[in-house]
Amino acid sequence: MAKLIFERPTITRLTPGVPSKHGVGTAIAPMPLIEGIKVDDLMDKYGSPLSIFSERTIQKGMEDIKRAFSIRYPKVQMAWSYKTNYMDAICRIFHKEGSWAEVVSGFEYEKALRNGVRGENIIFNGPAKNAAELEKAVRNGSFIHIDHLDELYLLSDVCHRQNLEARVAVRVNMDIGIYPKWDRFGLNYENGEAWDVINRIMINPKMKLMGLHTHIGTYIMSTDAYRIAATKLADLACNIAQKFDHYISYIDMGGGFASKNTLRGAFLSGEDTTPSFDEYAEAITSAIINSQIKPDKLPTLILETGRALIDNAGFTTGSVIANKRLSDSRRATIVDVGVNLLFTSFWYDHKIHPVNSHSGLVEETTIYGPLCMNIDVIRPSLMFPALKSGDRFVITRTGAYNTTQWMQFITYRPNVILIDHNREVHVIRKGETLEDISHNEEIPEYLK
Amino acid sequence: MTKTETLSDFTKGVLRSYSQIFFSDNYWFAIPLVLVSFLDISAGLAGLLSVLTANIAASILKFDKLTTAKGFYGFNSLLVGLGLGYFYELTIVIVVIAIIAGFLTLLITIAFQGILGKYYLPYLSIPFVLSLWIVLSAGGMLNGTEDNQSGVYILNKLFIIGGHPLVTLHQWIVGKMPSNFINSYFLSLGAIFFQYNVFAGFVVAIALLLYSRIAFTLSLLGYSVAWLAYSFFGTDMTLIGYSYIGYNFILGAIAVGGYFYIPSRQSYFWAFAITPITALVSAGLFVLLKPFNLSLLSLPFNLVLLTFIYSLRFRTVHGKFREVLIQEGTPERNLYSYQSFTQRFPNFGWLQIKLPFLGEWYISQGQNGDDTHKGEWSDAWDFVIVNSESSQFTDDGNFSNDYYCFGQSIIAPADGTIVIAEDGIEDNKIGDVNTVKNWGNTIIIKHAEGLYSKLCHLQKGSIQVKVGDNVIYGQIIGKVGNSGRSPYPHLHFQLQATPYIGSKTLRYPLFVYMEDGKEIRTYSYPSKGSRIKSVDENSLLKKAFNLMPGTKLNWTIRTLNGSEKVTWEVLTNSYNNSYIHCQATKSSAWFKYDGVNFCFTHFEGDRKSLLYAFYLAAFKVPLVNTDSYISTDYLPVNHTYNRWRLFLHDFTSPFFMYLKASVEVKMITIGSEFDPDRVEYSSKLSGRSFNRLIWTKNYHLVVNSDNSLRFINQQSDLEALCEPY
Repeated sequence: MAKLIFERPTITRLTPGVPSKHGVGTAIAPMPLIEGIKVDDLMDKYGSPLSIFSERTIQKGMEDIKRAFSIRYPKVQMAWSYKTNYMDAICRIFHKEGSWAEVVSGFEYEKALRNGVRGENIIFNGPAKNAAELEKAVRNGSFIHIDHLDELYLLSDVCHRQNLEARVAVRVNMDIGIYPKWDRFGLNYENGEAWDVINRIMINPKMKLMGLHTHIGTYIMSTDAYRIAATKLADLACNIAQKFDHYISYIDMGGGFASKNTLRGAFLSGEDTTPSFDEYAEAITSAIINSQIKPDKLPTLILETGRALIDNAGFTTGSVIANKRLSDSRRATIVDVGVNLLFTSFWYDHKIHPVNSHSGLVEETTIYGPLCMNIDVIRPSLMFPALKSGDRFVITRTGAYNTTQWMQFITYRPNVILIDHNREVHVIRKGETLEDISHNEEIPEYLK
Repeated sequence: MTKTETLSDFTKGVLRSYSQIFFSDNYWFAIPLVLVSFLDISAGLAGLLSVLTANIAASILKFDKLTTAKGFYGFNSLLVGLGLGYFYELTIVIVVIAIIAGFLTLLITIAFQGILGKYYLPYLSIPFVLSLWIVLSAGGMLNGTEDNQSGVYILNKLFIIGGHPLVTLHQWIVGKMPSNFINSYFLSLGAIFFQYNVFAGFVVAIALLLYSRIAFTLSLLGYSVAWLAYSFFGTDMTLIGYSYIGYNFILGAIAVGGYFYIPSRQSYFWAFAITPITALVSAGLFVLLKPFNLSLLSLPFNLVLLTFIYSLRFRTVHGKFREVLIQEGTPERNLYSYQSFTQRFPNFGWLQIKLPFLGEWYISQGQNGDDTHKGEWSDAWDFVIVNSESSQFTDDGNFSNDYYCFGQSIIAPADGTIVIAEDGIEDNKIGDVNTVKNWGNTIIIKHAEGLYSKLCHLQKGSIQVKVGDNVIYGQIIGKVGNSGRSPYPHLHFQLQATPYIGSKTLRYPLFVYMEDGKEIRTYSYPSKGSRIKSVDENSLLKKAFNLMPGTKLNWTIRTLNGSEKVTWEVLTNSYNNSYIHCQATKSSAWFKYDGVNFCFTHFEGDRKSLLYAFYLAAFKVPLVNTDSYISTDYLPVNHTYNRWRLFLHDFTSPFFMYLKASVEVKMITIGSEFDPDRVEYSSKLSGRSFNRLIWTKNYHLVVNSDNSLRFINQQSDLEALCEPY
């Protein structure tokens, strides 16, 4: 018989009788396995902290979203949002599942090409594209999404000078009845700027209007917002068809579908409140199908879903460094995963599970990262079991944005591993060493 | 039509009247037959007179030009004339009678065409039998007729025509006759033209062999079986009547084995089986006709064949013994066309019924299913949606909402009118069934007279159409539900011939779908367990291959020797079959286009032409948006192999085809999917004999977005460019 685990004693208020408005007590399940593989084994081998991705979860997500949309709409195309997670292995999984690439910078554009995406299957978004990047994208036949008038002029200039024809789409922003209103990207629908740019493109011999694009925001919990956005884009498409007898090839609804993570400060868990892919799909596709677009001229529907597809597939594991009491007697636990690795802890109340079983008793705890910085808080307050130094835990749903927005600050970034569809483990990004970080640095001669 | 064309049609009509006796419209085959008929000059001349009379009369009276030119109106008159000339010496009276008889036979022919045509039966040589009986019987009463004796003195006759060498040849052939069996075979063949001599039969046999190997082997088969049958019954075949009625068996075997039915093991069996019947009928008729002093002629074969063809149409299952639907002229062509056309396009020309949904669905019950698709309702499909683990639902599947398909939109599978839209039946709980209103909420759409589609078990309140609405393909009409006899959400889809809920199903294929994500099927029946979805059309290819009549394709051909220009024109014939015609090489290539595939079906003309290479390269090209899709097909061997290889192959072809010609086309789209620059097809053709590779050909066809074509023949360093059309 295994020995019982020692846990330091905790004092918990006894609350007899019916549950209060906070419900019954919190139970936190241990998470000894990821995709059937022992987390302890992985951490023994690859170290702590560790970032883990599951190919099966990615594939399942792709299957679900493709099914949700393709059973409702004849032509659907996914485009992988590079900024959400542009590790080559991850991108390649999405490309293998049929996704194109959606990039927002010259750097991402190069990465997409290097990952074997054909230029014609790259959507070039973003507010900052320079002339050289535009020229390259035009030559490759990529879709350039116009963000502002100055970009239109620059692109027109590039095309005329080089005698090229560009495939373009217009990024449109609009009032869809939610707050905050995203109007800093693209051209506005209500004030007629989008229509103005569409007209300019249509009469420009060097530009071919291929599609319309909108990205209404991020972590959008309302499917109705998508319905309104899709309706407005479909109206624009009809106007284009009516005025120019030109049928656009696609409507790009951007991303923004919520993942199951809980936003910081939200009352209910994200698992209970975020709409399913089917609900988003129903709203978007019915809006386009019910529009005045003729059935045989329906444009392809492009989705740049990032977060909702990769968040669930990512896990961050770490170890407890120390426990301490704060001045107000709250308990604090210092762990080796900080905001340097978990940028998303600024937005989310991430779920944290101990790897191994515990007594079941929980105590209000603040979880701090290892950085010598005041902002390094992973969870300001949560009910958490009494882990002791060296105990391991798993933070779930960390796949989106963390490996792109993470910081190299006072320490190295750890190994990133992938559990593939056959449950084999691959390192997809090696842990950093001093050489990795300082090899671009140069020391002036006089300091040597 | 110009005078020369009329004249050439007339000549062809007369010549083909000779070859039609062997069910052929090949006028080269007719030439030896004409010569043979003149071995007895009297018979030959009388025959020619009758056939000329019939054909001239047919064209003056404006009977159908095509039928006349095919020789269908002439061959009975020809036979009557031959008979007349054989039995009587050619006097002036007989000349007049030959002309009158020729015309009379034409009228009888037309009459029988009308009578038997109603039953889709051929009139064969019945007009000849009737007409010759009348004429011969009348002959006895007329003055100025004289029995022809020359039939008895064959050598004298041959000497008159060909002098000493012909007589020597005849004697040599007779001397070489190994047996009475072979001898009688030739005599029977000659007797068809009223030439009762071995020499005539020998020439006819050679001509027959050159015309068709299948017809030739069948002639031997029919004759041998008859010989055996007569030996078995204990009669000498040569003694049945004074005419050599062996040809009844020969023609009967050719008709059943290769002409009216597709040559096959089965057709050879029936050619074999029908012969003893014909023998019995001959023996019986011989006795019946004797009191009237009438000879059998071809009556036994006619009666047996008509009865046989008519009766066999009542079979409920046709199996492998199939009637020829489009007569191509020779047994070989019928066979090769059947092999290629009916196997490639088993249901071509049916209405295009597509899938009634979007996305990929799974067939949980197919046609002749285990659960409910039985008996008169067997030809239906049940569709559900499954995930990659083949589960139809999330969670536990205890509620309708857990099922992926529940609430999904259903679209009209083809254009039509709503005839029934029944709504208001509650959706069942999972596991329950409603056996009272067992079809549940149902939509029935009328697509054409006698073709309705029915979609059942829809969600209550989801039907978006009402009776009388016109719907177009793709229009959303309702949602998948769980009403009626439906324990879990699914879509029941069937086609039927009548507009009622509960009508029995109609076996009707679905136009196009992608099976299991890799194979494109057209006009097929998807089966249980397959995942199917619609295919995307490619507008660039649709534009390039939807060749409208009148379109001109101007090619510039560049070879090592320089360049030349050719022009093709797209034409349509009176049967609405489209073809590309190249005036310079007098070549034509027939094609079919259905929006999913472009297929060539037939080629005639110069095999050195660019059109022939194009015909091979684009024999079947997919027009759908599936990158790197490889389609394969088999080309008809008679369009791909040379004459001598085919000559040998023809002998075994009804049983076993050892020659094969296949084409594999790989499609690559270059440029954006939305705005492709070009589509490239690489065609690899290979010819195999007994599975051994004997030739290969490689072609490359590029379809550009400006609708121009580039065609490369990799063997001959030929590159051809076609201007945008």
